[in-house]
Amino acid sequence: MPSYKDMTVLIVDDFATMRRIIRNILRDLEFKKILEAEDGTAAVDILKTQKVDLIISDWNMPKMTGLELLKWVRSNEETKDLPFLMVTAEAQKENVIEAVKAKVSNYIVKPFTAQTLAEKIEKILPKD
Amino acid sequence: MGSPDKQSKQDLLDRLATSVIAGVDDLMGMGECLNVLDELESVGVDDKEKAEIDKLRKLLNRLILEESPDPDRDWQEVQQAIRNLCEGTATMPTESEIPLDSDEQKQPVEETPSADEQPGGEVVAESSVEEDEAVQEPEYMPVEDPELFKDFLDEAREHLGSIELNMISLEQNPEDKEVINAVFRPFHSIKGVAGFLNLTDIHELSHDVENLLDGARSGEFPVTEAIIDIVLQAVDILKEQLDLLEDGLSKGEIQYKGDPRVRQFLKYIRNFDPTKGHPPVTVPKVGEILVEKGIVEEDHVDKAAEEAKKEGLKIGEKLVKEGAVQPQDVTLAIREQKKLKETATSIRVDTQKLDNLVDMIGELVIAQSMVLQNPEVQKIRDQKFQKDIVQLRRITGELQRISTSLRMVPIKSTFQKMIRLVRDLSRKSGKEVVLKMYGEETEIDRNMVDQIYEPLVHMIRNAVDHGIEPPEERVKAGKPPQGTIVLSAEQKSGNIVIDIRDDGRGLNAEKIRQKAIERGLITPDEELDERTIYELIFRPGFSTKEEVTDVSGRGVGMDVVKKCVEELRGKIEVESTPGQGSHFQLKLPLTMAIIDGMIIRVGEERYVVPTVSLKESVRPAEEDYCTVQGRGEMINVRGSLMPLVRLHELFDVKPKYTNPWDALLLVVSEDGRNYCLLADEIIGRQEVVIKSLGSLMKNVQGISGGAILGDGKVALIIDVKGIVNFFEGKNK
Repeated sequence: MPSYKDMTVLIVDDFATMRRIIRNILRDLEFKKILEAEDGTAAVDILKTQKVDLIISDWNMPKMTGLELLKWVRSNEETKDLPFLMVTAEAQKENVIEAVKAKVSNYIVKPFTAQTLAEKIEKILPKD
Repeated sequence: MGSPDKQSKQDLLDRLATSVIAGVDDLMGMGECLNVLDELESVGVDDKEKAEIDKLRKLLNRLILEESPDPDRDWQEVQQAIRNLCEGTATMPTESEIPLDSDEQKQPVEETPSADEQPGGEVVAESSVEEDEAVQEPEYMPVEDPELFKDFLDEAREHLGSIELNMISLEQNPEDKEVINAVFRPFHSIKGVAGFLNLTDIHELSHDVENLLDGARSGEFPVTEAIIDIVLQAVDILKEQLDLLEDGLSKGEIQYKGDPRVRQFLKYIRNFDPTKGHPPVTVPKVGEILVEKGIVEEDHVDKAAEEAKKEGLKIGEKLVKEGAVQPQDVTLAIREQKKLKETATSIRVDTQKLDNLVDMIGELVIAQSMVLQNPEVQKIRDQKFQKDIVQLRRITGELQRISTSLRMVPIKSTFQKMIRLVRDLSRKSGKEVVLKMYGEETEIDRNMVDQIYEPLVHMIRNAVDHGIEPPEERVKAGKPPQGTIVLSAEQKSGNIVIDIRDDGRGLNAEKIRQKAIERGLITPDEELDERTIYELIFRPGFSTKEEVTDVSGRGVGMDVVKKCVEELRGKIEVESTPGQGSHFQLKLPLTMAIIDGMIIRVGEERYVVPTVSLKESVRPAEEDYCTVQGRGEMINVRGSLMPLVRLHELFDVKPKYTNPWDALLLVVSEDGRNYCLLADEIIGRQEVVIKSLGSLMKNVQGISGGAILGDGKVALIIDVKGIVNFFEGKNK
């Protein structure tokens, strides 16, 4: 198991309960530094000032969607290689393929178990 | 990252060859591969390559979506396909060992919540429709993390509140994707969390509504009233569910599944066909408005709309770019569209109901004055009472004002029909005519809208047919070949004034005179001024154009127009300058329901004379009275003789005065002639609500209706034209 103790995760979701659910799972996975943003624009503000190791973002959000955030992250020199996990309930082909083409690291479909989230994170986070 | 520049095919193939997909989990590598495939296709590939690319894309999609029945085999095929492409050894690819297009490969989107399809997600209980039938009893589960549920309750309620707000704007803009999305999103979020919390009922309900809205969002079907109803109903049910949840939290056990109401509603949604039904409101497109205004042709707009779509432009932008319309035309059309959208928020009310309401308010005002004029009431000297009366009067006054305005509608719809008319007429007659319109927003009594249509059509027809000259004649006269007709409306001192101006040849006084003599309307020796001659065109059976044209036809003349206008208690006047054009002016009352009247008394009876027809009132001296041979009694008013009309004789009542010099005379004008009506006295001036006398007394000459006066008694409203005609007939 990789150690996630020193990594910073950014959870982006407009639904606070959803952020809380993800945060609880991450705590169990021994993540210590967890940041939250309620939409893409708030996430961008955080990304501009803080070092983040993993982004877990919802797709459908007001102001700036998860896909837009992903595109911003990938086009920005500082953040372009950041692991980006897209949370989506829109398990429609075009949507996920669109995210993959925009270089999403991986995606996870709501609702997911703690185990699934752990597996997805393991797949995209470089192991020590 | 691929450069945005178009790369050569070889570069792309090189990129494909060197790009390494680390394995079935390397989504980024697959994404890069998919991007290269897109680019490859855009630079051009042959059929074999195309087939290989398609196959590769399908394999990759299947791997990405974790739908592959055998990922390892697919993965090998992916590598083989890439090699085939890069080495140019692409032959027509053999069908993949695992079929790519079979139905079972397709992502289930309908029926079962797709979110449940995630492999490994054992948490959510799957429930299909069949299962729904079986589950009748609500099921309960213990609560593990009440804090989380409480958070969810608060947030879900907040979201439901936002849905209701957004529904209002959705109803107004059913096509606005942004608004649909704003309604969609909360359902989506609620569904997501409810899934985690195992709240099956809430999860499924929000999922189904989300699906419905997703269809609307992607334009599969329009947002109909039925859909709006479903969404609002879903919000209500969800609120109930949240209340139930809160209730359950306090008991430590929550109902999560099997609520009969939710089940029933789900059944309804699943059987609902969103493609049926119509959008609640339809607002014409900008292009349609432009066509209606006659600025561009319909075919042109259709074509431009198609091209605009391809170019990602708005129709207005496209048309301006083409030079087909002026930017201000588009702005005006957009503004008009906005206005139509605003009016779209109104509700439809049966006109009968509206008329009843206006009538009853009229009655209320009258009942009020009956009470207030009651001598017993007038004796009350209490200050508070006086103050309250003022307040009551103000309220009823305002009520009356509003009720009248309820029936007012913009004259625009009538005006807009003229655009089409002018276009058709000018095409038929070979004349070039432009119609300009002003004051379309002027409001007019709804009951009058239909009735002014005919007169307007006649006058516009006349203007095109008789007024505007053919282009060559206009050029000879030094005018632009294109004739102009200006149609305008405005509200002026309690009247609606409609002007129709043309810049044609104007009325020919001599020709009208000749025609009138021919028709026996006047005698050759009658000396008439120009104005009086113009008025002749309103006489029955008058037409200046020799030949019958397709446009004006025969037998329909300005007399019909005049009659229509007078039925509306309006007036029509004409002015003309030879060679410069004519100007017809229609003056109509604001409403058909109320007239401004002078209340007069004849004997014991009271009558209302519309102030429009009233010129003045006089008290003649005895020497002003005379009798003229063959014309009866006359009154000399400042040098001109006017026939005396004894109202008491016409109505058979016993007057107070029979001598004109004791009584009061009302000077009225009809057909350019003045008459003196004999009355006892003027009681006052008042706005009265016109009441029909019923079908039995509909056609009593000289009476246009009745009005209830302040004391509750009825006064007849005098129709001056009828009185005069009756009087003239009697004299002959």
